[in-house]
Amino acid sequence: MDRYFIEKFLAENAADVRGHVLDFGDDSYARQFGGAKLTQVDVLHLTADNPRATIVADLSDGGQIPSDTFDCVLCTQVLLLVYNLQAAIRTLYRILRPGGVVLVTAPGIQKISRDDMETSGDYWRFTSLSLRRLFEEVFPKDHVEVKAYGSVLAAVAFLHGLAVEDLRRGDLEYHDSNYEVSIALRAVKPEMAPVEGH
Amino acid sequence: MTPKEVLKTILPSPTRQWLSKQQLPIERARRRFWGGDLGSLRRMAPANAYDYGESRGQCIDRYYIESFLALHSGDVKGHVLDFADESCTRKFGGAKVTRVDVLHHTAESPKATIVADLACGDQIPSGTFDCILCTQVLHCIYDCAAAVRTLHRILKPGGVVLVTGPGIQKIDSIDMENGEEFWRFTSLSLRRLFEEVFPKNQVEVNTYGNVFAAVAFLHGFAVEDLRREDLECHDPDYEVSISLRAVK
Repeated sequence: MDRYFIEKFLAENAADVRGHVLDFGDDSYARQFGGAKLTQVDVLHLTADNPRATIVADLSDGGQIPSDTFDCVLCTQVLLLVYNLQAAIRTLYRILRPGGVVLVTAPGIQKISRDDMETSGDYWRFTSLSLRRLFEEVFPKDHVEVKAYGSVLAAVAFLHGLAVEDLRRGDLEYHDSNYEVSIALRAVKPEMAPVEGH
Repeated sequence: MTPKEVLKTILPSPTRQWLSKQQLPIERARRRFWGGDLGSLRRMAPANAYDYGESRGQCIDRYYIESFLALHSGDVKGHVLDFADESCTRKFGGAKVTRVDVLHHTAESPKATIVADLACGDQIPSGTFDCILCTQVLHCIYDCAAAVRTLHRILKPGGVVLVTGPGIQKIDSIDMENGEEFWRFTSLSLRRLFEEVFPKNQVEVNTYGNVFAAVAFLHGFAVEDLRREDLECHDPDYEVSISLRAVK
């Protein structure tokens, strides 16, 4: 169910998925939405046990990822697994090239992910307000856009583990601002770094 | 005019009487089929869009919060700090309470004896309280880690903080407009926030809920709409409410 919202958001912003792209877990979203616009894809994973990973790093530490590297970072359903969110977002900013874009999605309403709970940890559910504020502390405010997806039906169906196919077409298009099932954010690193102290 | 009042003026009296007689059987039939088939799940509007269930009875999260506080009512004694009003302190502390302070982050609450932002909170004296009832507060504070440091600082040595936070909850549109609707926790994040300040062996965490309670709460149903066993059933994958007890 959440994949529907995530893919809708990525499809709307597919033009950003180009050049050197960083994806998480595997490169399927980079391939799906980047296509021929990709020049290079890296896959980040927290632990070395993922054969698809080209970078093994913890985003909230992430010192080994080079700065100003990526044209686009696809950070979908990742931040909920990171305890130190502010540090992770500072890393995202640092590793983006000037003018680069990070496309983020995060859950607002979701049951516990048992696998994650027992490995990386399942820490956070967000609201559009917290996700916006986290990024506005690092990116310029006018470079951050936030959008929420969901309705009570989407929330209930997702909690029950139903799939998109269980619902009617159009059921998921209805948005109720009190039910933020998925939250999406697009942030752009400025072309010119802001002058220190301003 | 409310929709109900509009209907009153439009519909003739016999029709209104017939409709009101049908309400209960319809309601019962609907509840009987609730949950199983997608037919009754497929509704775009929440059953109660107006609030978290207050208009129908006791809110489902309040049920969990109060069962947690009842379990630890022995901690509610001496000089107690409560938030927004002192009703929980009176209910669970009773005669064990010697003094109550009520904290609110703005001066507009007439019940507040301390006006402070918990995330900085420098004006609250250190080592003051025997017990702090911090229920459904932390999710409204952006820098919740700083708030937890304040809680630790203002507790007396040996003092106890009783905390609850939401895991699955719809948006509070008023809090959202006021810019105070930030977080939903998991047992792991709430535990870690406190374990960074309190000794690990002094922090206990519990979760409450199951898929049915979560769905009913999202729809705005109240405790009275459910059976007790519906609420008491515990599924660790559905953390509707999370409680934490920490001792300084």
